[in-house]
Amino acid sequence: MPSDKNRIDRFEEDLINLLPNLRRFALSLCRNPDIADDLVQITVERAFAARNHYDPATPLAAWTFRILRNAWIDMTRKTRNHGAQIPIDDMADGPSVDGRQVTEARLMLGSVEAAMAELPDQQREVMVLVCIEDMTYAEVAEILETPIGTVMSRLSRARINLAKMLGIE
Amino acid sequence: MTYSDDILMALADKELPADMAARVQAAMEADPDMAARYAIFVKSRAAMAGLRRTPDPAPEALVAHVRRLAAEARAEEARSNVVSLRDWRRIPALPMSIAAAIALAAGLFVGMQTAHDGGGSELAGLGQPGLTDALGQLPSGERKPLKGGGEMVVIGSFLTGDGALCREFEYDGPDGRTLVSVACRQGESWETRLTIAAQASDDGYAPASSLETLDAWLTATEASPVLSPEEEMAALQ
Repeated sequence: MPSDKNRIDRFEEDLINLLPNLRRFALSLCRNPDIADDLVQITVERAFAARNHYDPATPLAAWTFRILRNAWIDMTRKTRNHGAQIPIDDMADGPSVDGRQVTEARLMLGSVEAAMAELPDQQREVMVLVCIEDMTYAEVAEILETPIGTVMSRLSRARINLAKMLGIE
Repeated sequence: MTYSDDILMALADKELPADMAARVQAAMEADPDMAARYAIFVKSRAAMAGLRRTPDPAPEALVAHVRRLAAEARAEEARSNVVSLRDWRRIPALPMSIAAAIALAAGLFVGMQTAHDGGGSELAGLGQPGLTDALGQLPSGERKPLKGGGEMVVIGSFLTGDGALCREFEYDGPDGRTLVSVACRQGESWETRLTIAAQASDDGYAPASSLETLDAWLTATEASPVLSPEEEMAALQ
């Protein structure tokens, strides 16, 4: 059993190593660098406050991503700066996309990023977690506090939407 | 057998168990449409590869914030070790409904008392002869009767943020009252920085549960973790 001090030292180092990933995830949620840094700051504060609830045998990334996402939900609830919230699962298939409308810009280097930005929030979120952060469906389900089947259906719709936008046949 | 998009995607993402993956692969060989749907999931993931590069480093301010939180966490756990030190010494606890009187460094005095406690403001005891000597000599954990009556036990020694040696101790008066106090060395003498007067119950005194005031004070003074017996002895020399 490591001493309290060693436990905190490890938590501290692991958290610092995760900061770039936390920022990237935060940025994918709020798409504003200042708000993203605020979100990460709130996340590390909450992580330290709840550190005794963290099981070191489980991945710290999934645990902190979940805190970050909940902080983002709190923030959007509080500020209501996000406009009307539409449950994406109720929407048909995200934005209507047509391969022929793909612009030149999208075909260039930033095209994947541009296409990602057009995905509905809930689809972009699972894309980021699985295809960028390399998390398993089970980890994503835990972060989103949602059934794994929901994760998979959001992700498959996101992938099909992205493929259409990028002209992938 | 036709498989759903979700299953084909799970295959592309290597999320299927081996036997299931083999069945889906076999089905695709006989079904070009299904193979085409599968390809979309493989290609859409591959398209994301460019975004998987190492993320930008975090700003220094965020790193510093984590370092600060970790330092606070270490200090907090060191303080809770003071409490476990109490437990270890089996110093019995007071009831939660404690009457506390808090005397702060600059002579500021705040008194609170419960309805059934008539004397919450009497902080007798800290002027006891022998107390100063005991503070300068008594190792933490040892109990010592004082000349003027009552006895004291030092809970632990630590340094404040500005380097002063301080000792947390309990004084048990002959009248059954207990004072939890912190004194810091000031030249040759000891100056009381904080005192919590606890109303004694039948079975004991100093309570982990009533020490929020002490915790607040330790935080404010950036108290170090409790000194080891060797460190304490060296500091008292």
